[in-house]
Amino acid sequence: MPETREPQWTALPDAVLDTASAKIDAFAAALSGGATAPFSPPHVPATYAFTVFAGAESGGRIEAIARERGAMLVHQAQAFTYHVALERDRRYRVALDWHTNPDRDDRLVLRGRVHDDNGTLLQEFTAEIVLYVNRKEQADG
Amino acid sequence: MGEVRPAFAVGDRLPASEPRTLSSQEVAAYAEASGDRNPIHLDDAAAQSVGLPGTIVHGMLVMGQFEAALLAWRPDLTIHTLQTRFLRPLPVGASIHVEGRIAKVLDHKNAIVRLSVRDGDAHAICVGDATVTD
Repeated sequence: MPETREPQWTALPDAVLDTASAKIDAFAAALSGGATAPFSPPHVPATYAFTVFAGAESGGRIEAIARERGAMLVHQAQAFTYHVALERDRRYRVALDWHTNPDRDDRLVLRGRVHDDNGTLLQEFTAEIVLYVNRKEQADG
Repeated sequence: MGEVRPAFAVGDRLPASEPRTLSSQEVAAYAEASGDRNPIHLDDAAAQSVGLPGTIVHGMLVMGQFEAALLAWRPDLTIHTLQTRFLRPLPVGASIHVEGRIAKVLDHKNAIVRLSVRDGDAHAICVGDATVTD
C-alpha cells in the first residue's frame, strides 16, 4: 500500500474576519447579481469567510510564493465545514496555515479556522490552489 | 403516533435555476466585495500571459451559486459541509446554471445534495456535495 504522508502545515499570521453588515450585503449582492436575496440578514454567506485571505498579510505571502514561481493562483477545490453560524457585525479571529502537496509541487493547500472570542471553532475551510504557469509559452520560448 | 415524514428523498431535484451570465461587471463587483483582485479575473492580458484564453470567473463566485440555489430551493436549509471541485475554468461572460439532486438521505432531516454548475453547453464547470439539514 502507498505510504500516506501527513502534510506539514506552515502557520501564517492570524487574520481578522470582519462581518460588518455593509460588507456582507455587498458580498451577497455580488454573489447574487445585485439582490441580497437569498442571503438576507442575519445570514452570512457560506463562502464569505474565505475573503479573509484577500488583503490580509497571509494572502500577500501566498501571492508572493506564486510570484516567485512566475505563476498565478487558480482555485482547484474547496471544502467548508460549518460548526456554528457566523453572526453579522462581529470580528472573528481566523487561524491560517498552508502546506504544499507532497505529490504535486504546483499545488498548495490553504486552511482557515474561524474562532469566536472564547476560542470555539465556528467554521473551517481549506482550498487547494494551483500555481498556474504558462507551460506552453515556456516550452515555446 | 404517525411516522416522521422524511424531509428528503433520494433523487429529489432542485428546481432548474435560471441561466445567469457572469459579465465582466459582475466579476468586477465580486472582486471589489471579496477583495480578490487577482488579475486573471479582471485583465485579459494578464490572463493570457499565463495561457488562459482570457479572464476567468472567480472560483468562489461560481461556488457561491451552490448556496444560492440551495437557499432558493429551501430558505430554511442549514448547510453543514460544502465541498467543491473545479473541472474547467469559466470564461467571463459565460452563462451558467445550477443543478442539484439528493444523492443520499442520512436520516429524516439530513441529506447529501450533489451539485453542479454547468455552462451554456451543459458542460460541468464545478461539482460538489453539500450536507444539509431541513
